[in-house]
Amino acid sequence: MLNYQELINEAKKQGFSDFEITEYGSEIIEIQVYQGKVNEHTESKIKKVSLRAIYQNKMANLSIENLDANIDFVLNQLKENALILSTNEEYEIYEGSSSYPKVKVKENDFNQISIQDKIKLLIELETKLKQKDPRIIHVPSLDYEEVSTTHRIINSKNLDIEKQGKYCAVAIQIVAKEDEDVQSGYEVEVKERFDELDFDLMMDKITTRVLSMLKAKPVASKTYPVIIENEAMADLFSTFLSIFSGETKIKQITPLLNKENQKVMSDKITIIDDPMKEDCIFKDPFDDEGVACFKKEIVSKGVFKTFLHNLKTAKYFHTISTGNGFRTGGGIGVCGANTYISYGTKTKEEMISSLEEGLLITEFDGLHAGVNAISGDFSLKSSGYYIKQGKIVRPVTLIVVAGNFLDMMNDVDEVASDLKITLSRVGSPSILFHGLSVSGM
Amino acid sequence: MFDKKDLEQILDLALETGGDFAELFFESTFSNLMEMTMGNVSKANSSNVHGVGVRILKDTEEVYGYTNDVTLENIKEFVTHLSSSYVGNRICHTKPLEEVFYPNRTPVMKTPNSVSNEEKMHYLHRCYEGAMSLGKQIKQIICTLTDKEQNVIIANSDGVYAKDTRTNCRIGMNVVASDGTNMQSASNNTGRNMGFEFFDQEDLFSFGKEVGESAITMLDAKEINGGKMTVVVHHGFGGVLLHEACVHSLEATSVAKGISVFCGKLGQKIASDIVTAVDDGTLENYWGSLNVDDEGHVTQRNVLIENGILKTYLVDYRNARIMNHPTTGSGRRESYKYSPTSRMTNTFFINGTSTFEEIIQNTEYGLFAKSMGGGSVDPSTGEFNFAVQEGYLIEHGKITVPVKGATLVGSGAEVLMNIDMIANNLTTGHGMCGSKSGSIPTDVGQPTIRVQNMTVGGRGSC
Repeated sequence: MLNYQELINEAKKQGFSDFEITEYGSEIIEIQVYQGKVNEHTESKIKKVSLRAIYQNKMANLSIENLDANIDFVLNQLKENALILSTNEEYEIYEGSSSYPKVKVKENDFNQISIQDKIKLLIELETKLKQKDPRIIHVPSLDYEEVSTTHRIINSKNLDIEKQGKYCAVAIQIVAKEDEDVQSGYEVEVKERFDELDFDLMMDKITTRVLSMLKAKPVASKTYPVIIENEAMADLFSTFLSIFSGETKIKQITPLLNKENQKVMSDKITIIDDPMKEDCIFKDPFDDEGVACFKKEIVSKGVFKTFLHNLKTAKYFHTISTGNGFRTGGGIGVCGANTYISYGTKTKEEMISSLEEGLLITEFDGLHAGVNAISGDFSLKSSGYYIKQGKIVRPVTLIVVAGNFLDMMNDVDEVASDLKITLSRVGSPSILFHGLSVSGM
Repeated sequence: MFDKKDLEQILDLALETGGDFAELFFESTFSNLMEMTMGNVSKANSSNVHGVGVRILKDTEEVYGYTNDVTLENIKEFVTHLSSSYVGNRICHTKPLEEVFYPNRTPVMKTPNSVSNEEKMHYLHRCYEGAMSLGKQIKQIICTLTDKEQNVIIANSDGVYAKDTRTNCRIGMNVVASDGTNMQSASNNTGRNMGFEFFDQEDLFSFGKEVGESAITMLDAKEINGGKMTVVVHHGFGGVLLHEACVHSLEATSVAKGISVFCGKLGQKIASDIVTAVDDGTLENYWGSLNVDDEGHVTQRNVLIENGILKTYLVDYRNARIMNHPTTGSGRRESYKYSPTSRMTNTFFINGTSTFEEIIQNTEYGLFAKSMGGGSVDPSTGEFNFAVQEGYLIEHGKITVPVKGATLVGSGAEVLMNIDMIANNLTTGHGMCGSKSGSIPTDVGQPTIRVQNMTVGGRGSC
């Protein structure tokens, strides 16, 4: 088993100027119920480390799960990875912030309810889902997950900080059929405590949504006023977050290059990054470099205020880290944490009733493919509802909504009050856009 | 590592409470990533994945566990804990382990650890030079080289004992071009299930140049006007259409639960007569090939659709029990952190009889999707979507202007019936496929095909 202090001491001896060890621990229990019994039961226990080390002024990365690895092997690999780097960037291992925000943790109740009782509740939920409506023909998966994580950073500058997380989640998938038309839907809820999971509410949400989509069909191709519902808008927004990253600024591949303090969006749009946001399940007192996290405005009433930075991108632009250095793949990248578009005053229903004709988009598919974060263009398979004379008339699917993210954010008619932050820690209220191009029939 | 006796002992322990099948999947993987930004090495990261996955089945129920603490003592304790999920008495014992022998479909000459970082840098530099040679419209070039060596030992209570080393390497490129006002990007990748000898054989300069050319072409592209039209999908990565629109819905993952649109359709016509589709994990050194799947079964060539008729599903060990269908060597997983399930390997339409030129000449108006981005599908409805990375209009039998922003949507069952021409120019592209058991390398491929009446999304007037 790797001894961290020994590793740091040996690294110093071998010429590393600074060294950082991040230890991740996780324990997970997953239960899938199917047709009245436990179909899959999974348990895991993992402890792994990610190392960052500065050697000859270059930062190397290595992550390992074999904690019996030989120290010389580890250090040699890090040296090799450092020596090949040829960019002119300055690197830093952080000595720590003067203080860190405190995370309020609710008392955990996972062990107060036995696994058998949890399974019983899930089976009851599956039965209720099937009985809810004869058009619900399958509940292909009903999953429960319980996760405990630890995250500790130790470095050669005497930093030793730790954060912990505990959450539970339920995910439901249902399939409904009417005549020959099939629709499916997925609903996930994540909570800190088991007793906060509202099975009945989840059931109502997913069944209402899926049943209302039955017999959906395309609409005629043209430009429509479009309301993008909160979760769908958050999903779309999440694919464009890299435009705010100091990394894309270094690489000069963001459309916001040289646009600080300029108006880049409608004045109805304010964008905030708040890693400690009170009502969010996931909170970060510090980022993966150990920098204390804080709330900041990225866009203020349409004016672009700041890029997000980690220590490296901040040094490059002679500014300070915004506490957004999070691990992406192998090394530390720049990511938002609870990044959201701020809410307005109207309700979604008021926006719907204001439209003579339009669309309410509730879901985008293929977000990993139909979006170009560099040009801002997107072209996405979408589904939702057709609105006529202020009312939802029928469900819509197999259409493509296309546009450009910045153009669209300049073309906002209304921002609703229904802010929703998704599991990917990106949030938005529903937004009414003046006109978006729709291809269908 | 443990000897066969240790493994038999662990497997037998797993069956103590009434399980009728137990499996161990040991993995030790080392992978490297090197990124070059405008000719400078900007990242060099390495990672190690190391642990064991334990699976115990009782009829069709599954208990799975994974840990990276792989001492004999810990594994025994963990297995005892997992097996306690079943309440019952032993019904069987493990069989003596016998090694699975197989022909080596993925020979390796230059292993990743025999190649220095300097050599890796030179491969990336060739790609960079290729794109850079296109002149000042090229604004950003990011090339990434990844290599991976995964060592696995798979043992199960049926007596299967398989060892394998899976080595792959891949270069991905993302090039940004700009004409001063407009910025467009293009990307592509090339990879094989083999050592670095692959890059010695590849013309990396031309590879880089082609990605750059694609980005420059898109600078002049007009927005396509959406609607229903004829679509010609080019060979290679165009096969993502088959992968998403059809074969995900043939995986037992969705068929076993009766939710796939292709359930109960074996022996029935699901595609037009000219369509034959194959999933073949045995092709030498292909990106999606494997000697044995992640359940220790030797991979095979599965003819999925023959002249339009559905011939087989892709089936893993557990789903074979549920479906009463033979296994197809398709049990795959990203790592020991996932239980295996039915997945694709190298999946493609086989060659037709038309030529590429004939297809274009015979198309009055439509979209030529020269290079595809990714896509996705909902297997229960069959609804799919794909992004077109580089597209052109076809007018009066000729390829004319470049178009951008095209997305193809439709339903898998319909699109297969609407394929009316297939060329004789089969090639494959190399993707990462994400599904229930994680992200795995798969090849997608096809000759150029023509599909009638597809919905194309876009926002322009072209």
